[in-house]
Amino acid sequence: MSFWLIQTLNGLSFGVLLFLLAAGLSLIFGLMRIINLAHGSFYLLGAYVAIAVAGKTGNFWLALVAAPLAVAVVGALAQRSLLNRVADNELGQVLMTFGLLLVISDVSLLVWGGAPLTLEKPAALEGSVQLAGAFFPIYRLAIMAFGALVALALWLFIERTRLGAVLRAGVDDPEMVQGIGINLPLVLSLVFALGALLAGLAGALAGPILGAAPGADFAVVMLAFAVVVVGGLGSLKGAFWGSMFVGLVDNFGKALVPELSLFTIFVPMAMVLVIRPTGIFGRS
Amino acid sequence: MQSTSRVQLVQLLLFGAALYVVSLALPPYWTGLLTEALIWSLFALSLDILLGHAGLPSLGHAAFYGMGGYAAAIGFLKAGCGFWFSLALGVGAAALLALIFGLLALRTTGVYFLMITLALAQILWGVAYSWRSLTNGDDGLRSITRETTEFLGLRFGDTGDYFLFVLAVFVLAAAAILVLLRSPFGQALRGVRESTERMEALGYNTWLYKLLAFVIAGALAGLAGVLFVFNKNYISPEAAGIVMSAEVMLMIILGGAGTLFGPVIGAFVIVFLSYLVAELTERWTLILGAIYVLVVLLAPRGVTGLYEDLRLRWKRRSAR
Amino acid sequence: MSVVSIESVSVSFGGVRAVDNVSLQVPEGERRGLLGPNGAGKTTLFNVIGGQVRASAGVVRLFGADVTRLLPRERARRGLARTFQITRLFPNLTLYENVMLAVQTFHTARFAVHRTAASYRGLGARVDELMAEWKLGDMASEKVRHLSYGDQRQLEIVMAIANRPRVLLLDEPTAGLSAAETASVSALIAALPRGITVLFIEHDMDVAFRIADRITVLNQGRVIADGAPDAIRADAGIREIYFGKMHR
Repeated sequence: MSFWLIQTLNGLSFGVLLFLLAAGLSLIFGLMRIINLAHGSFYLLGAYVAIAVAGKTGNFWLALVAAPLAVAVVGALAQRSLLNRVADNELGQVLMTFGLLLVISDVSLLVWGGAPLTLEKPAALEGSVQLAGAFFPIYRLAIMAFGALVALALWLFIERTRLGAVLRAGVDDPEMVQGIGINLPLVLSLVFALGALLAGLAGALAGPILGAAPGADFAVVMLAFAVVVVGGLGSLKGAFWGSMFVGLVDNFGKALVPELSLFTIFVPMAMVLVIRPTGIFGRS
Repeated sequence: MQSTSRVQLVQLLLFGAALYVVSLALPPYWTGLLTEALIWSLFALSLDILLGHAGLPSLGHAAFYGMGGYAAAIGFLKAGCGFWFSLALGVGAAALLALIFGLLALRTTGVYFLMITLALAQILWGVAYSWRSLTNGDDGLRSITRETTEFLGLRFGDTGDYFLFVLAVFVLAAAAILVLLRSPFGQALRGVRESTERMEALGYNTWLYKLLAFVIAGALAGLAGVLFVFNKNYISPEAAGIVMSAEVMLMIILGGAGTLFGPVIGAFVIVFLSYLVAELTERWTLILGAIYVLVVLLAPRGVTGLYEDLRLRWKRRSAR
Repeated sequence: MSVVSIESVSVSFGGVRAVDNVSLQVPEGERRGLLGPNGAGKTTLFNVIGGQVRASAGVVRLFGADVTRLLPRERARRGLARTFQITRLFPNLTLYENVMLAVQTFHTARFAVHRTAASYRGLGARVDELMAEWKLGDMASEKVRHLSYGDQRQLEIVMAIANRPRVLLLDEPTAGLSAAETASVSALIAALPRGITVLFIEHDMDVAFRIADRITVLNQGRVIADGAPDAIRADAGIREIYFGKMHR
């Protein structure tokens, strides 16, 4: 019994991290039709910057705030100075984000070296609680709670604010939004920055449990990708359910059949691609 | 139309002859580089059928390259197949995979197509990574040797001889691609790229054309993958990974999509640049990333596009 | 027997009824003009006949056979051809290549991978014939995106008649053309063999009344008049609908 509970909680806490990534990826695609391959870089930068800030100041909470903001700035800069210039070249934008992935990956290697680094958990979130006869880390519970809050905040933002309405309209019909006279370039930069922020936040949150190391950017972007393929690009609902699903499947997969670890993600992906290529909640 | 394709065939043969002559004076290290560049060129030409002609931006083309390599390697190592049978196995497996992936991916268009081809290639990568008993996982398969193979007096174990073989295969394959692209089938592919709706209204089954192009391109990529695995005697899941798929696409964009020599130029530039830079610094990844950004920003139609622009400007200037 | 038969066809997009219970019968060889103000549903009706749009209700028949659910390419195989209101050509291919693609559509050559299209005698000859007839010969190696609008509109029609269709839909064939171009295009349309049934949408009244054997007028998705050109011309109600919209 406790095995299932622990694994479910593990899967869900991992799913929360995936959601932060997939939500950003989905938003960016929905509005800008860009497949942001640099999304994994934002995650990794978030982790590295959080570790650096926490290392300098000894303050985890400061790092948790500073890292996503720093990554958001990087994202906004990249979007304004590079991606925006080739806005009509969809393939070109994807290749550019891949170029950014490579650049950030190498710069990170240069700055932080090749050894894996971890972020120290804050004292308040150390230790475990006893659940149904087994121990579960408080930190992971905190991630889940925090993730739920972020998901709610995102949902409120998209569904209940004016800017959110603009975003939803833009996803449906980008040309019409421009026609209404909204400052589209600004909105695009904001959305890209928001996506980067969420990815950086995921990196910072994952710092204590997954750490930061070269190659995490590639691994993470592929996972986030699997989520949006399953859940559907451009859909927040899809990102949420896709993340929970992939998080659970990945975790149980690793726990029950460790030899086929990567397989467990790709099988659902393949099934979705065969049955409904645009994803479960995607637009056909 | 026929004259341009004859001219291009001649250019191709001249290119092959020039490479042959040059190779006679080169030490084995450089011949090996040429071999690599030719294999990448074939890989790039195969994707250009889809990207530059049919208008299908596939970001998962390395799946067929990897499949070709792996099928040949597994055939060679585990089933005791000789070189030629492994080659046939590789090309066949790649073509079959392209058929399956094509049937799945061609239900979408545009960015969704891009994403799905990427996802499908990732699945193959995942299988290669996880199925350790068959593929050795991320340790890869080794010792796929060409030492014992001989053909028409060429001893494949010798770097120079293998280069000649690869050169011959390249020239033949490129010529076949050239003929294909000038044929009614190739023209129809370009029609599909320019206006699928118009093609359908005329009476064409555009889906069938796209699927056939996908399979042909996949088979050719598989051929490149086989040549690769026997060149390096080694294959790992990275052969089917996103880095490969993106890099071959970069080569096409850099050289100029939709042209015969564009993908070849792009391949040669990237291969030689990578070795040159590796001699000077460890930061090749950084530089490659910058190339991606700069090419898209400054030369989206590639070297061939820049050349065309210059020629037009020259024509206008001399017309005044 | 009617070559084209539209039976109680309606097309709804969301809440909007673009075509409302339209019925039409076109006998073989007739030149049928489809007139009406902008937004009357004419192009939507064409899209239903062509297959680009699925009818929400009703039946479309070609030569008596129910084609309502058939794809555009399947209708093309039955002898249907059309032009589009907004030119749909192959902009980065040459004029010659455009016409050749149209000409090779039903030829066995279309899947050939080993020779060029021009090497098939029948194909090259047909392309030359069409270009001579429509006086496009000296632009053969120009990329279509470099052609003038008038030449592109003419090319649209050439592409449609390339395979000797039995039913031809022309969507505003003279729109945007100069007076001289309009005259030559309408003469060429009038000179099409009587074996071809032609439906055309026109805003140019002179062209419409000159070419048409019979005219159907649409307004707000419904047929409001159907008859000989003279009768339609004399109809005061029709004139009222067009009041202020008659041009040239």
